[in-house]
Amino acid sequence: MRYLTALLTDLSDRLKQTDMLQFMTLFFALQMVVLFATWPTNNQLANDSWFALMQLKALSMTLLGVGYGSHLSNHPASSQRITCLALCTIVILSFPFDLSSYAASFPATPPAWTLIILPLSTTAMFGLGLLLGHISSFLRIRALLPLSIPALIFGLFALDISLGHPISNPFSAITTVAPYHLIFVTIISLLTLRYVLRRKPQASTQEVTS
Amino acid sequence: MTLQLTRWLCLIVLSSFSLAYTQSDSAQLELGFAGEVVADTWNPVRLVLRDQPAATLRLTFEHGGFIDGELRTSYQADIPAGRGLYVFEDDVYFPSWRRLIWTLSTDERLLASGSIDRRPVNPDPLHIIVSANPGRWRALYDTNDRVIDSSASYLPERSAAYAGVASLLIDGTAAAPRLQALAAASAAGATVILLDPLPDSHNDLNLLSNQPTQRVANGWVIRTPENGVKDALEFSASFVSPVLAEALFNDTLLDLPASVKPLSMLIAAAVFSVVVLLLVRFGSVPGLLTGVLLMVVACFAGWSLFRPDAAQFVRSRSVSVSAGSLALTTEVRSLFRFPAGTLSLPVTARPTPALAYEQHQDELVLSTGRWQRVNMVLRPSVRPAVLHQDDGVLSNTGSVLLTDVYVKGVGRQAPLEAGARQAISAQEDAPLPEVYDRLLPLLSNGTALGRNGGHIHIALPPAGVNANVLNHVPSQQLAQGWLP
Repeated sequence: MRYLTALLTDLSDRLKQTDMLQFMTLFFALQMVVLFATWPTNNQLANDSWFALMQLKALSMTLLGVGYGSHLSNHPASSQRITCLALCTIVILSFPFDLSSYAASFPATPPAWTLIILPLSTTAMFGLGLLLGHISSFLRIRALLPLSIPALIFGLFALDISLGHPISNPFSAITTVAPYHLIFVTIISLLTLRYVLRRKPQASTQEVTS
Repeated sequence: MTLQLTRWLCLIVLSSFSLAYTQSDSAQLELGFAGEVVADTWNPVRLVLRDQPAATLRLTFEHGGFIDGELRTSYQADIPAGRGLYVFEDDVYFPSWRRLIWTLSTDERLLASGSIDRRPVNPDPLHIIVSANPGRWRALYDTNDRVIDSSASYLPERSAAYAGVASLLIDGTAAAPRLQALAAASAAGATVILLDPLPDSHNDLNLLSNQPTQRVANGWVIRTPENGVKDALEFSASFVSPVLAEALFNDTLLDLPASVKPLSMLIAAAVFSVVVLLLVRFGSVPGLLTGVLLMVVACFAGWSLFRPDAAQFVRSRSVSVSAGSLALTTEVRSLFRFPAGTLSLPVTARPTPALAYEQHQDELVLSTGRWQRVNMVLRPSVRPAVLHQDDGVLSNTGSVLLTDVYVKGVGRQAPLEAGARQAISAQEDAPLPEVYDRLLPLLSNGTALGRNGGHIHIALPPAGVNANVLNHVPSQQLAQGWLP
């Protein structure tokens, strides 16, 4: 219970920090813009808002997950853990957008799919970002992170194209039930959790991010 | 020379194998009348079986065009097992096919099969002669007419089977056809020509018509002596029964529920976002937990607010065209589905515009895309007429109130109670239902219309045209609903 209270306090503190608040504001605002732009004005027109919203969320969370992961790769585990949890919390807090547009769009994908795949995918992308950060540090090319982040995402695309199945590409799998992708992100997420939970917190998040 | 002869013999033997395969002794399939099929309409299908196990008859049409793309439509019927002779009959909609394949098979093996290419595809209507000596009448038809002979016993008693038939000539020399078959043909819009005088064996047909010309539902029955047959045939060629089903479809047939406006959605989303951001920023842990709770509430609220009450909407409308006591009823249905999926509807129908579908004996199965509207025209059927007009009097023999009663060329009439009669009289015009605007241009002067909700009843003007008059009235004028 004490651990949970501490975790919630850390999470609340992390979400209050400027970078997270700014990201959350921008994320919500972008979702509103996408919904408003794609919402039909006439009831005879098909409502495709959910598909556009899902692509926005996949893009945002992939970029943010990989970006934060690679940036925090040489930070303490507590910082990595709380940031990963904060990103997932933001995804979860935006569920009403998903379900509202889903309710109006009638896609073939079951609603549970997006509710499960988005937090998992965010965690997995965070983990891949950590890996990318470590490799960059090892090769002493952290300066190239702004280039290696899109390169990693491009690599996920290329892997899917070469394999012929939606396995690693988060954009194609978000609107279609893709069991292989689910397995892929679950494994990466579990490895990420295993990694960020490897030791007790050594420093508060305030110290890390200041 | 010997080699050439051998080749010819081989060809003949192979051809006979092919025919034997497609039409085995124990299973014979006949499409249309005498093998003549009218494309883009309903046609009879007749399968004669001898000592066969339970099997499935399947007709597969490969059709479509530049716009629709390649479409595959199929008809499937379960044939019960039986000893001795078994005849299966049904009416099937035949699109203009590129390839038509039929199979009769059990679960284990193929009993018979065949295919027909696109060469016989012809939308021109048929002219049927029921006579012991049909060659006698063939010279009276136009050279481009599709004239076929048929035995009286083969004539179906289902009106949909005659959707592609223009005329039916009975000269009395062959066995008498059943009265129901001729009524079905006339109801479907065909012109039934009875050669006067008919032998006693044909006395039943007097029940159909005792006048020289008489409208029966959507078609005509003409009794004429031999010298009037050509005029009657010319009349049947010029008379085109109105195709009213398509006019029943319009954008307002199926009104979808109003969806939430984008601005309302934006305001709701903005309020939720601002509240969550404020809770996270200023609420610490309780604020975060309240934000999560608010998220759960917003999920339920958003779902119930934005989700339509039903995922599928169906509206139907029907039109009954009558003259006398019979009416040809055609029902149209407009269906709208939000989610993609496969639909099973307990109807026999054709989707319009063309779609890929499977028609089982009493079930239509089709796949719809997301947010798709499907219009269907159901197979027409004959029912007792509800609205009648005779000698300037309208009558309602049904059990429902008819509203929006209107006589083209005269004007709006008072509503007709069930069982009521009233004289046609000119009254002050009032706005008509929107569907009438599309129907009236297709109908002739003197036609009466009334409706009971989505069921529209049309009583064609009566025709008591005698044979002599027929000779002096241009066919086109008759076709337009000429009143004596």
